[in-house]
Amino acid sequence: MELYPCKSGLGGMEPVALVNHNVCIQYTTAKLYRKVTFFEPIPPFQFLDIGAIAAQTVSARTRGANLDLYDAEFAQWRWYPLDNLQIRLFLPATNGKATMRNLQVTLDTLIVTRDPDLHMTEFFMWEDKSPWFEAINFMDYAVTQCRLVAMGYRYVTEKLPEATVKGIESGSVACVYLSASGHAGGVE
Amino acid sequence: MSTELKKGVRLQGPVTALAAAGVANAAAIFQQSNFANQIGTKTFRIKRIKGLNAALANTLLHIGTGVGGAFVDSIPPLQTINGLNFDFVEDDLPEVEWSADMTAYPVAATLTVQVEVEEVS
Repeated sequence: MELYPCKSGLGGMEPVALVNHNVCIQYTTAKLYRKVTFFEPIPPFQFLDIGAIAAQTVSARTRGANLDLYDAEFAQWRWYPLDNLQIRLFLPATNGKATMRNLQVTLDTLIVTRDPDLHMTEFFMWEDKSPWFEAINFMDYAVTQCRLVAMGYRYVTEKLPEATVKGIESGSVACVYLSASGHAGGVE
Repeated sequence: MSTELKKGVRLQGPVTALAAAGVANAAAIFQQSNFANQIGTKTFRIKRIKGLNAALANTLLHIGTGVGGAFVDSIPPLQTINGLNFDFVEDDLPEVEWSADMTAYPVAATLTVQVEVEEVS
């Protein structure tokens, strides 16, 4: 069984790691080497409603606090919006995901037909460092809600011993690297 | 059922009373999404138009773009019958794509209409 981030597979979503697997969660500049001790699936659920947005207006950047986890846990999420809006994801609040030189890519309801497994929407999150969302109501009509749905896996972890971390860094011990934040880019 | 290469999002316009007859009174029945901050260009196709003829006569409903003297038909006029609801659905309507506000006018007023569209982007 090959496990890696954003896997498309044939339908559905797979966990990125199993119990006893090593992961390295990259949150901004920190690298957190952990071992998975437990994981469970989280079925699709509505985790955020940004609320009403006037026509041709961008909403306030709003935190998805219902995605927050306990300490020493990380999550693997896929998501989509229910309402006809374009959504930008920030993780953390000032760091846009899916950002290129000229554009930060948005997600809209068409993702469910263009990428039915939502694998292009996948992101990872450490503890309570949940993402922020900004909704663009591009329509000439107001909306009364902006609902977002997520699904994925929750992982409980423990810290890896220093010797194992050295083994990972030298390439002799297996580990999956997971980015739990955006990247500002522009690094030489 | 047709094969659609450009899938979109199904939306509905507001209930609009076309209370003034004639081309000079063409009014928007669905407005194109054209916010400066949106990503990409959005167009839409008409999928259904439901309405009520309260004109006290059979009359034509013109659907197109532009207002006043600038109105241009995008599809042939639709005949509506005095006192009755009308309901033209996907198979009755040509696969025309709008890239501007959709406007309409009745030859005799009043027609009350609502459109369903598929927005493509």
